[in-house]
Amino acid sequence: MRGKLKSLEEAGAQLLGVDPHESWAARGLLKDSGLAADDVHFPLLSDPAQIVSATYGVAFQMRIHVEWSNRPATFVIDQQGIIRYVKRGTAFNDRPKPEEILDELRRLD
Amino acid sequence: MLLIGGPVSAQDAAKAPAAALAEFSRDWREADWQPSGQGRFTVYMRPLDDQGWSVRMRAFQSLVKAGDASIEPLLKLLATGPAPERILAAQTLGFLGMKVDRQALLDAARSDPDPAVRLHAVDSLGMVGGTDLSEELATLDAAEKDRDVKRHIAYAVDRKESGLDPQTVADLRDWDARKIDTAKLGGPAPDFE
Repeated sequence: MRGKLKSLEEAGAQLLGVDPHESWAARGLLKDSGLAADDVHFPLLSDPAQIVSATYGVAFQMRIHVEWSNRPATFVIDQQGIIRYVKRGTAFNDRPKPEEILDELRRLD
Repeated sequence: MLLIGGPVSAQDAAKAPAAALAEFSRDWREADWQPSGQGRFTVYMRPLDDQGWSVRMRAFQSLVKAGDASIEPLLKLLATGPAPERILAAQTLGFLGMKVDRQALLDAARSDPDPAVRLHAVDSLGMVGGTDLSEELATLDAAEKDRDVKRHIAYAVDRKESGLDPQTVADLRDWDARKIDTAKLGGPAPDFE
């Protein structure tokens, strides 16, 4: 993951994650996945009121076991603040590969 | 006329919970969840063209915006409503602060047949905060079989008495619900302070 992050940074991008839990639960979820907060090398923003998630059209659209979450989604925003790429997943693992994101970033140049 | 999601006067605040819940009951379609694989996770997704999630979001915000007026109807729904309404009630009560009856949340967390209700009731117990519930949570954990609910009981234990940040509630109340789903390809990215 760190190598892929480096490629994104070299392409001039900053990765931000949005998680629909309070920070307590987000840290707990990381712990349950065998990770600590220090293992996440990009800002993971907490959105427990779902206002960012709803504004971006992904809130309340996935259930993992019994827990509600966001639809997995990826947005690329250029330096002028325009959305240049959107991928809304139709399954938990339906997310773009890092190479696909890097291709999109190259197209911004 | 009562505008859900718009500015709320004191008079409208008293009517808002009933209107929000009626809209949710009318427009939310539980059957629209689609199974999406049975690997490591059992996942259900809303269809890409689903409108139900925005119905849910508007109801959620309207109920929080109405504040104390929402507590009694949500507690009643939590005890006696259909499952989708009980989930919404359990999910929302944590945003309504110290006046929420913790015992009602504990009852739901202990005995609701739907694990999603139990999970959100546990979350809301933690979010209300202000009281040491470690003994009650230990009792819940001992009786709970669902692994997700057990995880959330552990989160509630970890947070001790720290309730939900009041700024989170303020941000939700102040958010303009007309911004729902406004992030579009080629358009400006919605910004947040």
